[in-house]
Amino acid sequence: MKDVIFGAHILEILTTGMYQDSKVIYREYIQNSSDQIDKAIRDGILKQGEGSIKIWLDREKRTIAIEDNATGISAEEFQSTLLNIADSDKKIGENKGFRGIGRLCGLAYCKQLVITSSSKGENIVSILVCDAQKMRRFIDEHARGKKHTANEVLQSICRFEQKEEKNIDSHFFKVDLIDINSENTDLLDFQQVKDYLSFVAPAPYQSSFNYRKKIYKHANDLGTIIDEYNITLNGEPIFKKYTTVLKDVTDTKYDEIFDVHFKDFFDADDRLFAWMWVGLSQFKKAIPPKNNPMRGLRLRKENIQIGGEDSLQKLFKESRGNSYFVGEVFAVDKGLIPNSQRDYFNENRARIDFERELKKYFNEELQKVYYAGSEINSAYRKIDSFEKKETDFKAKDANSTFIDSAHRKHELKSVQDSEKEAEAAQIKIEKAKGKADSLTQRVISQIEAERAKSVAKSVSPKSKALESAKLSRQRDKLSKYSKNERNLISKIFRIISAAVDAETADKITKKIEEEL
Amino acid sequence: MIETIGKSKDNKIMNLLAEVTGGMSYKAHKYALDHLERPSVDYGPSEIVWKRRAETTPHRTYIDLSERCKTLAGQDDQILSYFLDGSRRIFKVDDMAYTHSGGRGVIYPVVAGQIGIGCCRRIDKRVVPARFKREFVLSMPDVADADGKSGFWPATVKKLNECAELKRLGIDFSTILPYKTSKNDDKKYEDRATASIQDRMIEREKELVAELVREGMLNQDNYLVKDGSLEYRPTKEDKSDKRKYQTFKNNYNWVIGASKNFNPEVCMDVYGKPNPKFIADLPLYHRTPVAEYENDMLGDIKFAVWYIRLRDKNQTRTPFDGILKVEKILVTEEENEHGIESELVDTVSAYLINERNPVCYGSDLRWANHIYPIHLTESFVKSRYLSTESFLHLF
Repeated sequence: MKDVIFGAHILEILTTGMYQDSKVIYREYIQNSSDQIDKAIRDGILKQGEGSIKIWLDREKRTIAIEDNATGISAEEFQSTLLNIADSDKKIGENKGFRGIGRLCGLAYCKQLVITSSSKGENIVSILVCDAQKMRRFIDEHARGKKHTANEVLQSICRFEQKEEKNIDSHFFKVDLIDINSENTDLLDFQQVKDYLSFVAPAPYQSSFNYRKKIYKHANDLGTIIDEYNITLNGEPIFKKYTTVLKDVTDTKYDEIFDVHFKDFFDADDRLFAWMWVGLSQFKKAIPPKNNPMRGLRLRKENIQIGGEDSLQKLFKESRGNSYFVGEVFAVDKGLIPNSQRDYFNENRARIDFERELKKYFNEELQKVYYAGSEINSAYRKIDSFEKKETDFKAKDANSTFIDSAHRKHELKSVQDSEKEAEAAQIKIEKAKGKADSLTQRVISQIEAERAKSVAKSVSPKSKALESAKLSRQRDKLSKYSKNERNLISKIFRIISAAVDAETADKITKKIEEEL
Repeated sequence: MIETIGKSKDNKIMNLLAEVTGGMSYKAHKYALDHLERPSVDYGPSEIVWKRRAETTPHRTYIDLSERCKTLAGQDDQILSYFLDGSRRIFKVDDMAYTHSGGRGVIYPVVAGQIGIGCCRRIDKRVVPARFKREFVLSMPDVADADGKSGFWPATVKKLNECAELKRLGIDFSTILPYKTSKNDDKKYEDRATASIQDRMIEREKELVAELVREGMLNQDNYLVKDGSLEYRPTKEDKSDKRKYQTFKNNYNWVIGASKNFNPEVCMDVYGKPNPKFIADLPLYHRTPVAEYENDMLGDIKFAVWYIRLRDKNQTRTPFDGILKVEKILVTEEENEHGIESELVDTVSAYLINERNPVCYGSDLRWANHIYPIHLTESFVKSRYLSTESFLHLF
């Protein structure tokens, strides 16, 4: 059999063609560094917590540097480790990366890629300089018919160097992306990169997220750990940006995560294959994407996010389901293998089982919770609306601010209609409570507790019997006008009252009265 | 006031100082210049305007933290790990005469001080000493260096430290701080000398914070609470390497200043009028919105400041007792642009409120504004001082 030829195009597939979003380069290099930090800890080179991954962006010089203080690569292994493709020693299920292709991804976005490393105990720094621009030129020629093999291209674009390292104990691995392509300027945008890493990278929760300890404890009780690394971007530490406050599009708080709930998934042999936490709120509405970067149930493997915020959306019967929640699903099973783009899992038996169980939980349990949440919130809104209308009505009676008896009758009708709706809403609430499981019951209790607080705050005016009110507005306030004038003014008030909502009508009428 | 009676025959330090500086020692009474620590209002020059919001949620009124306090207390979690405090003890140790033009002799006080900076760390609910620095300093009138030679004071300290008495006791003076004697200041000489020692203490305090920061001891799970205001300006050395500087600056993310005394008059409302009532009326376990202020002294560094009430007004004597002023440096790009994450402010404030018990009632008049680990740190620092008697016998 003849030798198999890998054409230059394979490099295009592994670099430019691999990912949709250029920012994945950060994830790929962080993934490699994390594996090496784990190894350095196992080998006793680093103590727990000493590992660090530092990313530096320089917008002016158009450079990116990603550096870790893990094992580094020895001078002896440097060339083979970095030149061989898809030939990694790492193992599926044990390491975060295992395909041996991630280090190439940077070649797509810069003019030159430089990898520098040194391992503990040797006084050599090994350097690999890759001419990324030249690689793309070769690939282009290949596509136009001038054939090149992948080996030929790599041999031609890579240059190895060595220099002396004075500190024999230093150990690091550093990737420099030099002269970032103009079309990839986003890679140098500090805020964009920080926002991306805040959810994708295996970073700790920020300490202002109240429930982090509960989450760690649960993981610990399950005998798993959440892999976390010290990652900094231009010196600023990266954290998972979970907060307990849910904000409206206007940046105001409308709901709050009051607790977290856990669900563990076990297979037929009672082996844990995934677990999750989900934030419990009042589920007032689908969480708006603006001002709530953490929304959605996010999928993670080895604490690196798989896909975007919507990777689990398809498991909900209703696609909006995912947007009611904040939470994370941690895949544990070794059979759940991230695909090469890391936007989902490879299709296999483990994935089928995983999806089946998650679908069941999402659609049988979680759906009930957000349904009950929205139903009860809407029912209480109706009750609140009735209470407000009734209070307003009583206040108007007390202050004698109805225009005439027709106006009062019209408003009374509105209060009575609202009362009927409130009664129906109350029945709905009781029914929902009756069939609620414990999780839904917790949400309902929270809604009721919060409502009790807001009701306690509102002060109701001294009430008078609805039917016994006097209509003295015109008599008191318009007494200086003639009867005809009073009739005309009353007519205007009635028109206003019919044309706009009660609140606006009241405002306009008051203003006219003041002016008069 | 502590006085020592009698004049020791072996006033070696004063004799030596008189000889080196060309003055004449009067071997005057020695006594402590420190006043008792009692609650006071600190009238600082800084201005705080509420309309310059420094947090992500635009609060306009008090924020209730009682629920958050309960949640955090129930979780048995802690992020306030380090507590830092600096203090000094100052004594007038002598009167020294210097001859001016025309043979006129003027008498100036010589002031000595012990400066102690300590840091305690909380590990598993126990507060243990982590760092301590002590130094002995002297403050003398600038006329003692009549020729204004550079290196005069360091050389004098060196000579002083070679004195057999100090060597025998293993004591070193670290510096002599000259105070200005020109008359364009209403302050008494003693106060000028005290101020120079106070400045030195603040510098040493800043150095210790910077040391902890530089060593990366602090992170989001290990905040440092510094007693008093945060007045930090990076040094040239800090700024020398852009990357190192950024890392260093970011470590200040985990430092908060908690002041027991503050000037409520500088809190302006949105109309620019002083509104101390806004702070005085702060309900229990609430915080104010976060305001931002800059200080020309501190260059491009911005501060966020807010107030929290630890103790009910009914339990205290003045409206400002029980209120803690909290400061944090705005460090990250996001913080400088949008302010501190309001949730973080709530969390840090709730942790501070949860420090309200136990109290140092009876042992410190400022108990209502004190948080206990800071009180312990203060006590630790004070316990390491050389006793007043031993210290005064050096002179």
